[in-house]
Amino acid sequence: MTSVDMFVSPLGRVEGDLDVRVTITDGVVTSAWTEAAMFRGFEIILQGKDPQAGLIVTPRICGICGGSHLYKACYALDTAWATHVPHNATLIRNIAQACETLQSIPRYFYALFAVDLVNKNYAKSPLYEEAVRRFAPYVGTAYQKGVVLSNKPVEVYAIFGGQWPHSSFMVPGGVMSAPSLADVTRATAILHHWKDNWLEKEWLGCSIERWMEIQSWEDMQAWVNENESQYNSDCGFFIRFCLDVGLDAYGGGVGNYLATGTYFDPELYENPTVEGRNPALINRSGVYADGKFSEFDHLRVAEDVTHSFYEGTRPLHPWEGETKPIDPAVGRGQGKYSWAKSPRYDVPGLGHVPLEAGPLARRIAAAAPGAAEHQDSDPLFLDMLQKKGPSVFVRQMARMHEAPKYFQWVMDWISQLDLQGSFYTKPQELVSGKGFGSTEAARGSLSDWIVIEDGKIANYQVVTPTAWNIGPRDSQEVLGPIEQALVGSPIVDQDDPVELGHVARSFDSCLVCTVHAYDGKTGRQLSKFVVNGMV
Amino acid sequence: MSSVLWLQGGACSGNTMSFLNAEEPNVVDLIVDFGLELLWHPSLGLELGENAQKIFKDCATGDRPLDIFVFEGTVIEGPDGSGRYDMFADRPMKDWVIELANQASIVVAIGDCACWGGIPAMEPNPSDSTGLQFHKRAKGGFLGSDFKSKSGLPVINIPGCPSHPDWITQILVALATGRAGDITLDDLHRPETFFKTFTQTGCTRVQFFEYKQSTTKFGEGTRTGCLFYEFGCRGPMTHSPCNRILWNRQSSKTRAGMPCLGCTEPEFPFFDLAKDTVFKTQKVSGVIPKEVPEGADHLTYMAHAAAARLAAPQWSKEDMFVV
Amino acid sequence: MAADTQRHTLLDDGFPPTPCDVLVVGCGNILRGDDAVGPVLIRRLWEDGVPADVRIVDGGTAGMDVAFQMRGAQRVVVVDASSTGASPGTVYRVPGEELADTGPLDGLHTHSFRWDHALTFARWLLGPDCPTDITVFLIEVAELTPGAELSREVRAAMEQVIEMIRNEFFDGPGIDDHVEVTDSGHLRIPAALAAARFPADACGLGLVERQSHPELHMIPLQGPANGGQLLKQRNLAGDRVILVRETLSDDLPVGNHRTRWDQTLGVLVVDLAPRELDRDDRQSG
Repeated sequence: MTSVDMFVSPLGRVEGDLDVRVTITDGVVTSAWTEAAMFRGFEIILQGKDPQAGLIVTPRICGICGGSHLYKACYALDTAWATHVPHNATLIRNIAQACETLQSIPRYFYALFAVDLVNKNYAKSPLYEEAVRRFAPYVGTAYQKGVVLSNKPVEVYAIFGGQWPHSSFMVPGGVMSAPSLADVTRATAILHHWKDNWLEKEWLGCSIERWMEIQSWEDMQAWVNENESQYNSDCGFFIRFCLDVGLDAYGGGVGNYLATGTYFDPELYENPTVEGRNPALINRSGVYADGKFSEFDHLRVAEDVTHSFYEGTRPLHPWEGETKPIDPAVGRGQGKYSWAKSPRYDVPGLGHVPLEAGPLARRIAAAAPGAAEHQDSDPLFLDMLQKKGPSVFVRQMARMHEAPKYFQWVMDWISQLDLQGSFYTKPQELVSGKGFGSTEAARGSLSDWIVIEDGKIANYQVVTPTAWNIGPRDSQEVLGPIEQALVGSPIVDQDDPVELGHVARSFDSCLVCTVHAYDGKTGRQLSKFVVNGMV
Repeated sequence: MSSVLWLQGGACSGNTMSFLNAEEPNVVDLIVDFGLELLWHPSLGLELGENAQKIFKDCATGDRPLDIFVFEGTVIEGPDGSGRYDMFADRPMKDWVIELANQASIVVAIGDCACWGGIPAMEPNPSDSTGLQFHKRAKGGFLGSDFKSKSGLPVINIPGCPSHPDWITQILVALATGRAGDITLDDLHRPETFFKTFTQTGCTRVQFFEYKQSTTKFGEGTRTGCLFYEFGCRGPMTHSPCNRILWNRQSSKTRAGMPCLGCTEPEFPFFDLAKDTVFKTQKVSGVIPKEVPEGADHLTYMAHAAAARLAAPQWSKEDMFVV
Repeated sequence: MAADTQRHTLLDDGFPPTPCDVLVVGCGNILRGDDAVGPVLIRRLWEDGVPADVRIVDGGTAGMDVAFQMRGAQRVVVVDASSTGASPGTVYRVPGEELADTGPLDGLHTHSFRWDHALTFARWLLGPDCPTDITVFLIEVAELTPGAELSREVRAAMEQVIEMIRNEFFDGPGIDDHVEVTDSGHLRIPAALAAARFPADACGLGLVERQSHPELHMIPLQGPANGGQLLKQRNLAGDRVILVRETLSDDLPVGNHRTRWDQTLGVLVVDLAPRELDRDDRQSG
């Protein structure tokens, strides 16, 4: 029995500094450790600052989904200050958030993920040459179109927000802008251009409406074979290639999912509150664990640092959260190996279990029974989960499925804008309060918890989707989602472990999101907050 | 063929994302048409693991010639100067930075973090972050004020949070086509081509600025008025071409009603985001802005302000950016 | 002529003269019958268009002014009327060697400046900066009646001279002086045209409505400190590009457009009249 410890660093192309250590026995991964290798200290930096500082600082935690950070940071303040958000502002925020995701889908897919499909380890596949022709970096036909056109949706973001990345145009009480008819016309034209030249022409090979008819795994397979155009579109080809080389056979992960949901119905979230959040969501929140659905409750979230380079081991809710970093060289001696904290969710009846965040998680939450009329109800991926089980393939299909779905929603929101109406209601800047804001960034659930005291930030915690997915082992030694997904992966070529890349990248982690601000150098104590039940 | 190695320190990838939005030329053009040889990049790099490490090592030792070393993000020196808060390929990133900076012909800092330390270097700077050759406005940073790359140039700073794709691509184009000598740098080592004028140059609200007509609220309130007087806009004080080279081909912060945050200047984020400073103009006696446009002085400013308000025409009090 | 004075340096006001490859000057009095041939020829060149590296000047009776115009030119072509007694319409081409000595400086009279006076004065004025490659065409007049149109013979001779100038001095297709408006709202400018007209890579934009069609005026700026647009390099060949969507509005005149240099305004004028694409080389944005 041969056992080899491979420390593959850097994994590259997974934004930020993610390092992976795996144990391989006889060509199969038997254990894995993910390591976040960088620390920048945002949560410490925000302490004592103006309450609106989060709008400027959190988008800089990650430049790829900075707009998502802005969205949830804004809602955290809206709930803390009990603001009024006009319908138009809710719509603009939804549109911007969705456009960021629409940009991310092709950019991530072609530039980060699909380039690995041309790895020489797949040369024996009859589809290999075609894969190279389409996906080879820079020269691949699909690569060029997908990447170059990916900036179109964020042009729409810039129309409403001034620029992308790093605008801070969402503020408590609404948005800073008030678009004109010309803005709306131009936004519509740009989105249609994107749909006509990439989404329908290159990716789907059919209309959005035809794709949205797919409700089950059988439907999807029938769709591939329905006609030439679909069979040979990037999507049709991708499905066939994955099945041929076996990307549907590994990378499953923990099989338990978390979505905090995003996009609000304008009428139901005019006065944002923490309690009123779930029913107002269009893209529903929810937890799916051990085969059962349950409602998402933010109070059940806790962060564990047993294996992270911080002091403390008891899992804490973010409103109590603290961050005291230690020297990693010291930490390793204590069995700590990552800068990411381990977020855990207390599932009713199961206790703290690791949950996967991401597009697949949202697609599962969308299949839960009991959707209200304004909410997304979509059975497709629960069906795929039950029939095929989770895998790299299923995770990627969930991600790509959101492109046509969100496109339809964005066009609908644009049509609802009332250009003569209000876009902002000036809030009262309360000197104290607690807030919770959350969204679904392209890569998964992203949440802020803010505590304001004396007109300043007393505590600010950010939990990113990557934190959910790459958080290391907790105090019970249960593996995190990516670690679990890596276990069981077949490694064909130890010198070129492309399978590790597929799995880790199928989570679309952006490590920069996971490591935040901490106290440490000055030995300064962070204030502690005792939570008396719910606030 | 110019070889480029692009690494990230304490970074958020915002500059990379902006760079991927480039058009005329786009990123594919840069590589295919201009022949930029991208040795490695955290998002676009093709090698993994040991294959990637070999590239870095060969460049660091000089075995592989490196024309342009691009760095995005801060250089992290914590804890205690060890740099272990940011490990990369088994060593602190800062060790890679020293070696590669000394081997490259040209070193480019992209984004505020690499230029001056940016947001991670805000008080209390828990990671001990700094820029490549500046810490905020002070010359020095990580490599020291005397540092010059093999071509004899200091670190070229392309600031911004993030940088605009054209600022990045046009400098790479100039370097790749042998025009490094044409790039004139200001005293903060920023290319003058982009950073001589102000955010205010080309701002569509500039007439309101002249007549001292302020925007009074966000949302539909931004259909008229200038954001300098009440909302903390730093347009007149900030060197950038944001209103001349539009963002995403469409717009800019101030056009869309969002105040300029001054993100190309070393002090960003201003006032350390202390209480009551975000989106609020800091004033003397509650009335006169503390900072006036570069080149003006307070006394003259006050005199002009009074006159301008008296002279303000009717249109400057009405909505201009109408539906 | 004193050779040691540095008169030409007095002309240096910090702004370099607009360079051009070829300068064509037409001299003559437009009111005196066939003496108008020089200016009429220039007018014809202007209407038909000249390559981007060519400047045309109506010297008229400006006399001395012609010498100033020669500053910055590589090659100069002068066209004037002659009255030697030869048969009307005869075309003379004065060989270069003959031009070396165009007579003494004294005797210059601003109101009777001929081409030879212009050259003499130019040498005096520009010193070492005076172009050395100079060609002179002379067309023999039929009559000089005030107010008369060009005579048939002189008109024919003029066409001949135009043909010769185009063939010999405007090298073939010359610099590509077409620009392209793309559907992404960009304006692409060929490398040589950009280098000739916008040496500082900066320009201002203005949209001018003419009766028949709009024109885009591109005003060369001295440098980045003056605001305006920056001409970005878009490919290895050095072609430039600017964003014009904002100036032209969303109804973009996509396709190739002709340009011409307007001497008086000092701008590159882009003719935005809708036209057939004369080359099938539109590239997608």
